[in-house]
Amino acid sequence: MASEETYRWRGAVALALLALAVGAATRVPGVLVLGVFGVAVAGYARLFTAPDPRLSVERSLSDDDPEPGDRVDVTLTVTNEGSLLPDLRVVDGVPEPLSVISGSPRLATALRAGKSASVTYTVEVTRGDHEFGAVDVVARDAAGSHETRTSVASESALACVPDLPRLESFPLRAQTVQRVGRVPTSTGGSGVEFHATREYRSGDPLSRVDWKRLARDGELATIQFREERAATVVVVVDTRDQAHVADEDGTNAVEYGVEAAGGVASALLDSGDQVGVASLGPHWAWLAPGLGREHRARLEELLARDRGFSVSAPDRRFLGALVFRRLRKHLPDDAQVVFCSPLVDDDAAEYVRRLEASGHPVTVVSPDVTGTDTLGQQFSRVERAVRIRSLRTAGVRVIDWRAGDSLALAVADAERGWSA
Amino acid sequence: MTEFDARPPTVAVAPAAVAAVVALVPALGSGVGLALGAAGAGLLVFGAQQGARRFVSLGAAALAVGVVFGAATGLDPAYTLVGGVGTVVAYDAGEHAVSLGVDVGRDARVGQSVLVHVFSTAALSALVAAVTLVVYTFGPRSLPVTALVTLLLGGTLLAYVLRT
Repeated sequence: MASEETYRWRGAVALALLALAVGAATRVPGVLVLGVFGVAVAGYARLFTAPDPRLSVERSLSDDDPEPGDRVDVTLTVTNEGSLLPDLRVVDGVPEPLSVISGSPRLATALRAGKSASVTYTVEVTRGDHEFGAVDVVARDAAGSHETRTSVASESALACVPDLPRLESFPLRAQTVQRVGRVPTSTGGSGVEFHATREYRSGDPLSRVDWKRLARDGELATIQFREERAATVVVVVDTRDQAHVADEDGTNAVEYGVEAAGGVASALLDSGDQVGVASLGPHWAWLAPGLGREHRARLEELLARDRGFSVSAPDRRFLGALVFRRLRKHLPDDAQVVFCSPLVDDDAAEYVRRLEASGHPVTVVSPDVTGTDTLGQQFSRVERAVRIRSLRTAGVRVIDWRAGDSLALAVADAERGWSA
Repeated sequence: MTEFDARPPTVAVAPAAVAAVVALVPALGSGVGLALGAAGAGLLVFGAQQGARRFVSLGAAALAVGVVFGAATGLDPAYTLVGGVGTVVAYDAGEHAVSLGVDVGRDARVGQSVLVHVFSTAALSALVAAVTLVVYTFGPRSLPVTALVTLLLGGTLLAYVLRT
């Protein structure tokens, strides 16, 4: 609690003395009376001491478990547990990622002892865990000569865990594990798509014997299909300081990255692949690849609530080499990587190259948040395009996702480019 | 999203404007006083509306000097005190509006704070003015010069002690 003088009546005495002087010089009673009045008002300004607000604060939310984009009404009630507060200003500690869309989280009022005042405002909820902070209070005395600033703790939290976004399918690179799945491999075996024929070996199933060839040439041959295997995938989201850039709507690239990660994870979990997630940034987060409904729920929870995937700017230093080494250590040997990054700096591309070189095939999903308005924006747009081209030349698949478009569309577009 | 607007709420500026107009009453008698007072009142209201504390202070000072000019024409003390009360309330309400703008912004609910603050200042300065007037009217008719000088000296000392 800090009390200070506001000095708002500074100069009142000078003006009163001026009136007194003019009154004495001109001997006009009206001016003298004015001077006396001025001195008395200056005395009034000194009459009070700094207020000592004793308040209790209560906050209620209309919905504890909202979906992203929902509107939640917040009601803040302040009760005066001390003496009369003639001038009280209250500012609620709205969490930074939430935006107030109607009403104001601020209130100025006068409160008698024991009375309460409340203010209601509406926030639009975004993904994540949101803690309401302390309520800031400014109290002034009746003349406004002293003011006391303090804050009253009041904790309430709002958690918003969205479902993983839906994505029908996501194309993977050709690295798989020894389990049946949906990624076509270049190994022959049982499957759907034709791969090759080879000489019959005893033990081959009769259903795969090439009977037409036997009828034509009299030779026994076995048809092999492309084996379809499952893959282990780790979705890495770029959450470094550099990735916290917003597009023209003000949506953070990390938010797009997390959305992409959710979509990819959902599509791959549906097709029976093992999926893990990691946050490459100052706030490290890791979920080892896994399968099943429980794993899906854990993944959903982690993407929504972990500090590592939060849209608020990181408050730690990023030790790039250390975090990257940690990521490499955690990655299973046969894991593929889906890297979600806006690719706005060279380091991001460098990480992709190093992952690719260490035997983890990488697919990059890159939300494009660059603009075209200023020369600087155009320059970074071109830089990003060059980065994407060089990655593609190096054999990395890049899905260039125009922010605002549907991810499924971007994936389909990119796939057409690869097969052409 | 509603951006934070640090300008004072309109509700808080209105009393300042009304009081500033009232304060011009005693300045009507003097051309210079009226010009100065009107300029001051305009500046005060403009400053209160824009959230510029400096303009509010400057305007109030000009308004006060204008009132003194008007009073110096030999106006009845009752009228000059109306000007005094008006000036004090106008400055008080204007500065209060600016501080409300800084603390809670234009969109916040401030009605009760403004009402209580303006009412208490107006009531108290009116009371002070009434007491001053009563003392003037029913006080001693004539004073020796030494008494006047002593009183002035005392008033000055009091003012010095009260300076903020």
